[in-house]
Amino acid sequence: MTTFLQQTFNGLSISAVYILVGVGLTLVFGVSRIMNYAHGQFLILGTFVGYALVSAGAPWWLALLIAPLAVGALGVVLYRTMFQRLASDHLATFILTVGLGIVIQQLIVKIWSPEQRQIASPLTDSVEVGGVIFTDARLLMLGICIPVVAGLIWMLGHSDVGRRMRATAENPHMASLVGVDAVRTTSVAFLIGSALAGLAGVLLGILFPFTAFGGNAFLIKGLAVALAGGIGNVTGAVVVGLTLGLVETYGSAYGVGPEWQDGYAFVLLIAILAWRPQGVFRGTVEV
Amino acid sequence: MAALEIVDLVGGYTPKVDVLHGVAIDVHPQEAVAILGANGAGKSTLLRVVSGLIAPRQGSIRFNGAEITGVSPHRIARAGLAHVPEGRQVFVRQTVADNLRLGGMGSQGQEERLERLLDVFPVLRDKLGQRAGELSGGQQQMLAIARGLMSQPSLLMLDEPSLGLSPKLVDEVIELLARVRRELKTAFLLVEQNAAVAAGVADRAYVMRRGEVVGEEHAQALLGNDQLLSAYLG
Amino acid sequence: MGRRRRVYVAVNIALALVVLVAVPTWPPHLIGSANTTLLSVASLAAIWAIVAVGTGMFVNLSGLPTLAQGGLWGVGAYASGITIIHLDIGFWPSLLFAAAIPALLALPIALVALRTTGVAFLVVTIAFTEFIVLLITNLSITEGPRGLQAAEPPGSIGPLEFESLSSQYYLYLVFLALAIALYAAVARSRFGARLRAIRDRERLARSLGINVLVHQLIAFELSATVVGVAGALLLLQQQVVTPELFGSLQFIGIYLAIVLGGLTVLGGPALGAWIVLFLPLWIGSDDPNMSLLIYGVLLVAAMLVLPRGLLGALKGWTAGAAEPAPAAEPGPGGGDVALPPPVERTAQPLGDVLLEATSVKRWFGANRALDGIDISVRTGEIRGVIGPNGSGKTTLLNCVSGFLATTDGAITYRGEPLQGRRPDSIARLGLVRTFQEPEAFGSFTARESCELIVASARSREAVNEQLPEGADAVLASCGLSAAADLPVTELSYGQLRLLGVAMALSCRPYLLLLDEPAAGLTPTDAVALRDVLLNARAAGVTLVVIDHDMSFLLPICDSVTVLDGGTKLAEGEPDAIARDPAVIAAYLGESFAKRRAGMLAGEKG
Repeated sequence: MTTFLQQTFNGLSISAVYILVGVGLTLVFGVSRIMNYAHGQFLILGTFVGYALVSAGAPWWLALLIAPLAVGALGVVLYRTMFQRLASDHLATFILTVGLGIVIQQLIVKIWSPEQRQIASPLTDSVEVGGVIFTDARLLMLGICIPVVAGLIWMLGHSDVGRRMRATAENPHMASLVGVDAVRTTSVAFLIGSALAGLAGVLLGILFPFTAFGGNAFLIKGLAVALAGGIGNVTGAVVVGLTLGLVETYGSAYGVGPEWQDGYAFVLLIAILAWRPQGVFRGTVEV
Repeated sequence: MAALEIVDLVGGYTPKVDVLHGVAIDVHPQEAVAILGANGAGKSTLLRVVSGLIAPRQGSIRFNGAEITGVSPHRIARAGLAHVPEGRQVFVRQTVADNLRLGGMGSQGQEERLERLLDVFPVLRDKLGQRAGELSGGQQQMLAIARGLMSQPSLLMLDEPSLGLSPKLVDEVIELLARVRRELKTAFLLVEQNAAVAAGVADRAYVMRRGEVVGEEHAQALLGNDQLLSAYLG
Repeated sequence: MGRRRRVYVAVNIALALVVLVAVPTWPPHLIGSANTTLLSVASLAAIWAIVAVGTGMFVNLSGLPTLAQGGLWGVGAYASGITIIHLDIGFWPSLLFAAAIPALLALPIALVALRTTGVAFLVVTIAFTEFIVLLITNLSITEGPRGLQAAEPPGSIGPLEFESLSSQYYLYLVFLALAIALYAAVARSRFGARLRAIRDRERLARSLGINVLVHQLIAFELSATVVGVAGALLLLQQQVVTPELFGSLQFIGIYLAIVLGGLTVLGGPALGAWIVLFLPLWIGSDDPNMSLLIYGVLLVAAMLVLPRGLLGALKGWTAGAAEPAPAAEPGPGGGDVALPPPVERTAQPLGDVLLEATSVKRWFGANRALDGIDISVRTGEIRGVIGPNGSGKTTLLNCVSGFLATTDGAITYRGEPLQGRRPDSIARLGLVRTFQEPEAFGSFTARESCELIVASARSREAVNEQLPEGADAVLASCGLSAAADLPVTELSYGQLRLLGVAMALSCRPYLLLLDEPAAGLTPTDAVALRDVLLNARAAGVTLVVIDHDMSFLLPICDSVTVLDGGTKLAEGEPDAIARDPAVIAAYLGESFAKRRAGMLAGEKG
């Protein structure tokens, strides 16, 4: 039982990362119809910006604040300068954003290093309750992910910004007729979605060692989460992201060996899409 | 000064094919004007050009004295020109309350206006928390009109508000629009196939045929003008 | 293709061939460093080119970007290697496995992926490729991350031996030529034309009886076979293959090749492969990270600057210089068209019930678009369907033609229930519909559009033999002969509408459902359309026509059904319908009709 609870806690902290990545992808796509395949590199960029800040002497909490903002700003700039021109052409968007991802990755290698790195944080303690070990870093992950995602869901549901995003997602033309500025609204979606990737990146960097080449795995899992949850549906991404983290952890502990861990995302995606081609929940930005 | 002044408007959905061939129309402050015409006469296209969804190839549109040709739709909407598009277009996945709030965003006194409109549209009051897609056709049309009014526009453009509604509901819409005019002093530009709605709401009507204005008449006289009516009834 | 252009293309192909064939005679270290020889890079480029052609073929003809070909390429390589090692067969027999196993694995994934659209298709194929890489990494038979080694040169065929690297290079070139030939054959076949039609306008293709899934599936399988064989060649060339070679993001190199070379040109993907592999060497970098960075920048630049690729852009320039675009010919509206003489409307005896709908309902949430409609159409009839906007006319047509499922009720055609049938299968029964907006296959001319349908319909059982056969006959019957060779994008609005009817008639249907065929037509075009419809009826076609234009519709109809608010308001002969007070009220508004009636009475009194 203790082991099971331990697995659940560990799984939830992994779920948190998948949720942050998947929600970012699904929010951006829902509002803009643009799938950002550089999203995984955005995450790694967040990790390295956080790493650079901490290495330069900044406290870890400042890194947690600045890295997401930097990545969010990059997302907005790339949207305004490049993505905007290609909207709705899936192949062109794919090629462009994968190309950008490669450029970001290689710039990280040039600026920092291709070697493995870790963010030095004071969060190395842990709390033990009834035999279950709660490490500080994993607690931090949950402690940040839960309020951030809850806040995002509240914002989408109850604020004017959220209404604008939902309206643009459902029908951009009609939204413009009620005075919604589509470009500005989409920029906000890019800001939030990209910042979530940056946030996931810093949190991961505090928890695990990392290299410049890890972004792809998170991109692919984020895509699976976004798509299986019903593309554009934030709640769907949360549900599937939660499921995926737990399934992966339980699967490694009780099922086939840990080398198959990355396979659950694909199996989950294919199974869900074979059952419901539009994903678990219906699309358009929703909460 | 006219609230809306359209001069020599030419354009369509593609650069090659013009749907409008030199349309000229004005609407005075607090006036209700109808545009009558058969399917394909270019009425909806005209409204879409005015609200900025389609750029015209030629011509000028002035709203409250300011040139709005080529201005993006959200700016035109914020300037106080609301467009309720054809076919009960509401955000079906959003709640009734959110639809209304979207209409009134960015202006002061949202909540008071919401209250006031709910007095005019009592049917929406009980449904505020429901998704708009769950409303009946008539209720969706009411919602679309109410959403257009939330921004306190000085001119409301309505594209076939009677579309697909039963005769009884059509009569309700006519009554409602008359009440809106009395109480909110909004000017209307109303596109209609249904002459009853036009005659019941408008002061003045234009008749369009194949992208041109072929006639203009006061609403009272509209009923008797056989020539004008046959121009669009075919 | 103009003569100048043909010469230009031939010269280029010849030049390319000379350069390619001469590669082994060049100094081996002309470019690159000590450990990359020109021959090895050229060999790899040839293999990449095969993958690029195999992938580009599917992407271009289906319009669906796929990354599954990355994994399938790997499956081909491992299938070849594993059969060589474990079955102890030589290179040549292993090619069969390299072709067959990817095709087999492609089937289930294509069935899932093809049910989705757009971005979902791409993501599913990414997931598939990543899953394949995971399998290859973790299975014992594939030797894990260290990679699979199989260094067996192909056995000689007659006097041809393949021991030397240069002979193997020529072998890759031969396979590349075969791949390009296959692409050309598919692209020019009727099958390829139908694929392009689906890509251009899927629902139109469905409405004309083309089975979308089967076509896309076959194309996917062909592509899987080509990249599978390329996998076997890669193993031969590299002697060892590792899992990460086939990851979805590594496959972006192939896409870079396709994009640089141009997707829509046969040789484009091949040219691109050479550029992608040689460019980093020309720039003088042997650093894999540097070449990755170059790729990244190229991908971005290509999308922002050259969305049609190098060859595509070149093709555009030369075509633009050599052949001025044909000027639009005057259409039916121009007045100089020779339409066949219209058949006089005669009171024909009507046959049995052909189409019967019983209490058909279609609800969209609380919105009851159809709320219990009964309609019965007899053979030989022209039935008009009128009603105000939003009264359910198009919804009814969509339900009958299979584009929408009914909420309740039954629809039978020739006594057979239509429920559960897909639109294309209904069309193959001889029940064809047109769309309210004029639709056409954007990359076709008018004649090609009709030829495509005529050829597809030839093998069908339910064919109305009385209708003219052959694209030219159909186009002539619709007054489109003069416009036959124009690309559909250059047709006038009226011509596009008539082409929609012509394509439907190319199916040689028994029952034709037309959704507002006269909307937006000039009076001349409307007359042309009327004659087309009357001629079709004389050839035994039963017609159901939705329209708003009473002056067009009422004279040609035998009977008219009036819908209002999703129910049937009236039905009867055109003259009676035109006088029916309820119908007048539905169009004009009840209160208006009353007031007007009162006013007219007042004037008289």
